[in-house]
Amino acid sequence: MANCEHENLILKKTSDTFFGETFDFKAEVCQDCGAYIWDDSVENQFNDWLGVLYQKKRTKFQVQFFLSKNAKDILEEFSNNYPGIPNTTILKIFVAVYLDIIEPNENYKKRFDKVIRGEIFESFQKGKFEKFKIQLKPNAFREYTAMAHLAGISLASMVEESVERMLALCVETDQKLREFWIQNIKKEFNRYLKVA
Amino acid sequence: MERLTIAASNNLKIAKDKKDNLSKSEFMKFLQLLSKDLEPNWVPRKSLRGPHGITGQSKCFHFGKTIEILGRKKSYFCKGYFFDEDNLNGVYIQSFREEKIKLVT
Repeated sequence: MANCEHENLILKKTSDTFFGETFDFKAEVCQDCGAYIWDDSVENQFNDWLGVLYQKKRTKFQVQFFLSKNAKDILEEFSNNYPGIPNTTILKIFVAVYLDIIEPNENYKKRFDKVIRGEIFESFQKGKFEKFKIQLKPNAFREYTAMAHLAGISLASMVEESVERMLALCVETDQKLREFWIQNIKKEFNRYLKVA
Repeated sequence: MERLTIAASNNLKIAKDKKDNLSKSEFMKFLQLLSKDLEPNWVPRKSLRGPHGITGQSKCFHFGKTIEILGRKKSYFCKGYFFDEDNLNGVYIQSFREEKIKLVT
């Protein structure tokens, strides 16, 4: 019930589905509408459950996506500047920088209007595609899944598009975007790289 | 907006169901993406029952907001109240769900 005030709560066992798995827990449940209250106790139970799920089914926390040949070539060229760093680490940092730093910042987001209208970004939608996979930690997986849910897209699509936007930006020839990359975004990339 | 962020970081309680109302993860992300100049509507709270019903603020806030992620726009509705009265110990979100646009045919 959309307008229920959840007045009639009792503590009981309940369950919900997350990431295609059943989460059984104890919570205050509304006797009128069946909603439950997500409080610190449920949060702790969820984190414990998520940790166990990560140990048992690590592949659930993998995200598979596709990049075009052009995107892959740019990734290879970019990774040459970071010898010894695996491509999967670079891809994970691209996703984190785009979703954690750029998306919540209106000014940064606006800069991408030009990037996604450019030839490079357009080229990422054509040609032969190759499969990529990244393994996320439970907290990152939870956060990005929530973000994809809010956007109404799959986690894989969100990861794929974030990577494409970052790859298109790092080879931009437009003077202002070049400066934006060097002065703002590359710094963030290097900061994330330090702790990766 | 600032009050909501502070209260949510202190103690967030959110009503979640298996249909429309979303979880804490979505709400925290939503908060990050909201503009700072948010001005909610305020209405007197109907009931003293429920979490922090007696000590919570006597008025509920509610607002609808459209957010954009990777160029996809979606609208969300949020309703709740702070606890305790004149304090930011926490916030109870009674409803946080996607606002579906009704098409008139």
